[in-house]
Amino acid sequence: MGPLRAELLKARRSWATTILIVIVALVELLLGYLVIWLVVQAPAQEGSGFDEAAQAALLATLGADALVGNALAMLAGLGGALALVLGALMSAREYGWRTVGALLVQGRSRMAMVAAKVGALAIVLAVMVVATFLAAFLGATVVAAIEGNEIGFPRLGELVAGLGAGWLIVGAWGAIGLAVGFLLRATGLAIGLGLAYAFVIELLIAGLSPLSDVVEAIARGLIGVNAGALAASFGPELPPGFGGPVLEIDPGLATLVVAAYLVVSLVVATVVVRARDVT
Amino acid sequence: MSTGAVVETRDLTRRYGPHVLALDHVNLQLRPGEVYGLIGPNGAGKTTFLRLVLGLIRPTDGSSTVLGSPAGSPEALRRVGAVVEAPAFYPYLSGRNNLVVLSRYAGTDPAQIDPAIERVGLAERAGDKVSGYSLGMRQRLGLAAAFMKDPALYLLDEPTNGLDPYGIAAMRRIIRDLADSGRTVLLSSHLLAEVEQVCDRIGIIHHGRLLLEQTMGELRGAGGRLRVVASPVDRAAEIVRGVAGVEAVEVTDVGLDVATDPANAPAIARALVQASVDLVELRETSRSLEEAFMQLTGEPADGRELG
Repeated sequence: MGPLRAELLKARRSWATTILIVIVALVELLLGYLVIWLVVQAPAQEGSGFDEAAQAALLATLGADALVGNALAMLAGLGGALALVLGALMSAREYGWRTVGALLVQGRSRMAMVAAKVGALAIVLAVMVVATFLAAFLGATVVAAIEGNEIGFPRLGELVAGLGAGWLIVGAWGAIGLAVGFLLRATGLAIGLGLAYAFVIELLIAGLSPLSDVVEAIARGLIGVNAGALAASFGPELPPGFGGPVLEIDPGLATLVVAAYLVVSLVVATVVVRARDVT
Repeated sequence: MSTGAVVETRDLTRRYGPHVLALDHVNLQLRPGEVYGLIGPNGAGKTTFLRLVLGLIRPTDGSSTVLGSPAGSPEALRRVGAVVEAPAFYPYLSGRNNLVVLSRYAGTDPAQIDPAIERVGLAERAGDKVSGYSLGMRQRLGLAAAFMKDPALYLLDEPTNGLDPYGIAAMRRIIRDLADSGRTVLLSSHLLAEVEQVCDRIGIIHHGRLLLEQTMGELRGAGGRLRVVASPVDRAAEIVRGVAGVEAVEVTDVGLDVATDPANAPAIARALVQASVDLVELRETSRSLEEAFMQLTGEPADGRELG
């Protein structure tokens, strides 16, 4: 438990941890609720696809019963990317500051150090997931109050499953960041490459997937596509033109693919740390 | 079979790629309670040696044990306090919190943190972020991290880097105190004066090879020399060269530097007096660490500092 407590102390005292968690929660509140609510307030335009029915459908996505899906959509997108950043910071910064050697000469195995970092990252990401859900709850509650609707809560089973799915999604992205950080041993490079993969390569392949069966097959193996499909399985049903999953993937299969990314990343991180010299 | 050595290496070798031989079959034993100085110019292999002993890097060939356990094993590292190169800390944490992190990793009693901070004189700045620390303060914090573990073996790499003269003197006292209390210290340095003042035994490492391993007493006595101050100096040099057992005589600014067994001093004195040469001074001179280093490596020394 000592190394885990040490890693938690470092994470707690780092501004980066707080800022990244706050950003995800804040963006959930602003983009997930405020902006959508402002869009709903705009006059309906018949024949444009954004008619009164679409407005009503969009407003329904801001209700408490859509809270879990809204929070998961944020965690599958921005949350995943920032989880990757947190993971990369947790591993690569040790090399930038050359503190990895100081940790490893304290009498713990290299495995113990990796396990402590994984444990601390899991706890930090759990906080991120809870903060995002709380932001969604706050957004749903404010919208309900403004619209004069009854303030509601998601079903407990759905909430628990949603929290678990969110934790798995950001956990997988965080593990990728951790592994890339250990591999590259350079914070900027790890974050830059990680974000480029998440926001450029994945989106490009996913965007081109309707044009080619081969590209679609590749896209079905991507973490972002599967995380998106898993999040979308919790709803809400969005009106046409307001997003949705890139590809329809069975939620069970999507869960397995995301979990596979998590496991493979942790194995890579462990192998790299065990095999490499600390210079 | 255990030899009782605190650190024992057998043919320890480390290559970096096909062309760089950083450490070449080094056999070294550290005895309990001694201060051992590993000296050599920058790039000689000192830090590579320490990293191998700490298990941070793996040997290409050979092996090493620390306190009876394989080097780098948790069993060995739990009893080692190390400051390798410039001590590294988390800049956004305070000095005390950095020690809390290391203490939790080491599994040491957190009650040891404040006494360790006091011992290195950092109590007033322990709550400040390390990003504001000078190199000397980081060195002292690194030493405090080692103290917390109360280890049997200290591995100190250039421990006086960044310290002011008071800090350097304090570091010398600390190292001697550690040895007096039964701890073993392996001190790596390129500062010959520092090593000469605190070490019981030294090893000279150059191009990855351990060229010499001696006690300071052996080093100073090795290749005995006598200083002769006499007048006239040319006549004195002629007489001394004729004494049996004298290997070489060099005329210096202050007299004669005579390479011979110090036991030949009475014969030299008798020969000079019998030749009516005025003998002013005749005494044994010791070889300095710098001279030993120069003889072995042929490397120019920058004052008394290598590298």
